[in-house]
Amino acid sequence: MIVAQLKYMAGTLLDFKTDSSDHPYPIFTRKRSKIIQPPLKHVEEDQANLGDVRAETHKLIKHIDSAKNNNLVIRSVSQHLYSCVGMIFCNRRTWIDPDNLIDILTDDGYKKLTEEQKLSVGDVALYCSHGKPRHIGLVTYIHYGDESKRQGVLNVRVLSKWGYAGEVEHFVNDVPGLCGKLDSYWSDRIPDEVAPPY
Amino acid sequence: MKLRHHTKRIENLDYQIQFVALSGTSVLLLTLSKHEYIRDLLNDTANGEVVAEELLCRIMELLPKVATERELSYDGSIVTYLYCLSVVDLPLAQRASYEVMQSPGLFWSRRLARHIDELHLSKQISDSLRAHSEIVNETRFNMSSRRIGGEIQSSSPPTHYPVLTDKHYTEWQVEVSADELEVA
Repeated sequence: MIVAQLKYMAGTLLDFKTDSSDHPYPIFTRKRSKIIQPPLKHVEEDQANLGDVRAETHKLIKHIDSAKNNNLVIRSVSQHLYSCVGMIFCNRRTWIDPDNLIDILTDDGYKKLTEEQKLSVGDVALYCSHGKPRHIGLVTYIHYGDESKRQGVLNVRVLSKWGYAGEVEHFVNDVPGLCGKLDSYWSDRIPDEVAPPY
Repeated sequence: MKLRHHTKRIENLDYQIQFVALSGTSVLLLTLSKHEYIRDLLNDTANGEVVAEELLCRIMELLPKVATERELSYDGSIVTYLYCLSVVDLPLAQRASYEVMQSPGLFWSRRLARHIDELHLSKQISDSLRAHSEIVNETRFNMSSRRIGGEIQSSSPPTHYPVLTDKHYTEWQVEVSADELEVA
């Protein structure tokens, strides 16, 4: 038992020294800054220990939908591990924690939309709690009222990945409580024809 | 008795299902630190109404159920108890995290266990560095005493420097020299 624990601690010591920037498959932003990923060994361990994602997703949806009737639509459920940030910025390939989300957005040329700027399909919705980014989703549908500005927007639907559960299409404010609250919309659309070089 | 009140709140679907949708370890830690149920449990632990060992026992009871239970995954409950343990008793939390790492089917508990290991390890490293620094202090003191003639009867070497630098060493030597003068 003691030997096993010592071996385990030695393994942890090695992991502790692992610099996540030395990831064998690095991902970069458009500004060529490295996106911080968890160590590959940890991701593989998490992947191997992932439970039944389909069952967990259905439980979650049933739990939220039965409370509010939110018209939640499951787009997909995957046993491959990726997060909401991984879905939008890494093509559903890997798990990225949302800690550096603002850096990723700015390095990729996204700008926070003001109240006057028009929201468009393909923009992203950022959710925060206690001033920190917690969740991100992709705008998929906008239902306008009389005006074309944001004040006239009646409803926005968003596609987002809920933790290790599935991808869900939902109304913009209908996310699980721990995903935080809608903070802002961000867009990488360039208003001028000539884009500034990155 | 008091623990049963907490387990009732923490080991149900309403509470546990929230953890599925979390997106990162820092989000998990922030959530745990702000959650009302966890604050209550921590308060009771601080008051002595719940003992840290009871939390460890509860984790050990839940771990075998993870593989068989269909309705509840227990990941949310285990991560909660593990977090409380890490706040009140880090070595005990490290023991629990070892057990968690051996159990399949857990996601957030495993991530927190890893985090606790890193915390525990960094604490061990800083403790050993501190101990090393004290040994160095003592050795330097003894060497300095021997150089003076071994006559000085000082109770203990100065230990108020966490890590000795050359500057500290020089200052301390000056102090010892002053002592020597007094003895003389």
